[in-house]
Amino acid sequence: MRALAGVYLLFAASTVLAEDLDVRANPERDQLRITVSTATIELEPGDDNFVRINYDCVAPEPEPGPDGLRVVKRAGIDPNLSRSSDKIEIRFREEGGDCRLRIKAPPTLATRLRIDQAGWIRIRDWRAPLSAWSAAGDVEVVNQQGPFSITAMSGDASIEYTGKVLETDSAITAASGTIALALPKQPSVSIRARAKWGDVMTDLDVVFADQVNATGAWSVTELGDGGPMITLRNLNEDIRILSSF
Amino acid sequence: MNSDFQDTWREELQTDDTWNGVRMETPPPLTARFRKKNPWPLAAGVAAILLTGSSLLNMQLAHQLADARTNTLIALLQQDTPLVALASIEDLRNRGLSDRAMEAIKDVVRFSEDPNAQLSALEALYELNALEEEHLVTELLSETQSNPEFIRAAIRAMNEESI
Repeated sequence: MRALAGVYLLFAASTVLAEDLDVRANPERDQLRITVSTATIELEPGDDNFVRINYDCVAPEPEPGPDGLRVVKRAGIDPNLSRSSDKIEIRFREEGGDCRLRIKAPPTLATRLRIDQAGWIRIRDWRAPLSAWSAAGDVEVVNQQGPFSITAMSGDASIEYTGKVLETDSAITAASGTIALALPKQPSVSIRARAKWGDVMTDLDVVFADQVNATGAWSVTELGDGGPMITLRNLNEDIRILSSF
Repeated sequence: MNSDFQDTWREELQTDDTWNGVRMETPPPLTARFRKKNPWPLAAGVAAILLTGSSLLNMQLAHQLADARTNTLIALLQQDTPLVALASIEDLRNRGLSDRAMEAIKDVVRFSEDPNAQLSALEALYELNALEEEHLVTELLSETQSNPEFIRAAIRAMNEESI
């Protein structure tokens, strides 16, 4: 289930931990969940049923203890992997430092990626439900074919949705960055967008209506026959709804 | 004398069969009496009873189906799957909410890790006037485990909007 090839490199002021982590997945049943404190994450389809994570993390070298002893192996630096009957969960703790994750996995695997402090996320050619958010950094999703929940709390969120039929409601939220949603295949969906301190802009040939409720003023429209709702929320910047990037 | 009297009448009526005919005449059948009356009031009454019964049955079935659907949606919300939560909240919001459903939506704010699911739940609670009093907002925030600062900012933004 798990193949590790680890390398610990010691530098003067930091510890580099570089490893490959492979986990066999059942794409019909499993959900992949990755949580990391500070990182960049790249996710793309693999060509087998394994989740293959290549990562390297750089953590500051701990100060020697008061008794002068040198730290040889630091607690909490390794990622924590847990495998249940329907979840593969990998958690990189803050002590692990600043990580770079390159992940290949079956694109039909429902996936959730989360960066708790800072870092960007890039995902391409994903077909399963996708949930990704970063506390501070951009989230870029290209050629997404499944439903999505994307959040960039402090950064840009750009999503190209290329599916013909959206299976369920989806959403994109940003607080201080631009939201861009591209819909090159013009699926049948409903869209509602609210940019509190920004503009809602589009090049689509549709009319947006105003809808005001207890939570604010929304711009709403339907493409094709309507369908599942894509909700776009932005606090400070613009929302762009485009026919293509 | 009695016989003379009868004979006189027989002659007047010119036949003996008249008396026999009168004696043999059967009463009109009961169904014929009904037929002669207007059948519509009765039919309308029966129809009204059947319709009322049917409507009550339909309403009961509709309630049962709605309850079952609400239970299903609440169960879906309790799974930790953000995209399922997004759709379930929207569906529940359109149904009007029982106390139990309201608590399930609050639990999404409290326990979901996904900011979009939390925001959808929060918006549903605002639209249903479930957070009108400040202590309810404070209480919910104190119980929110993921992204509390982000949710706090969203609440502030919603309150500014409504002002």
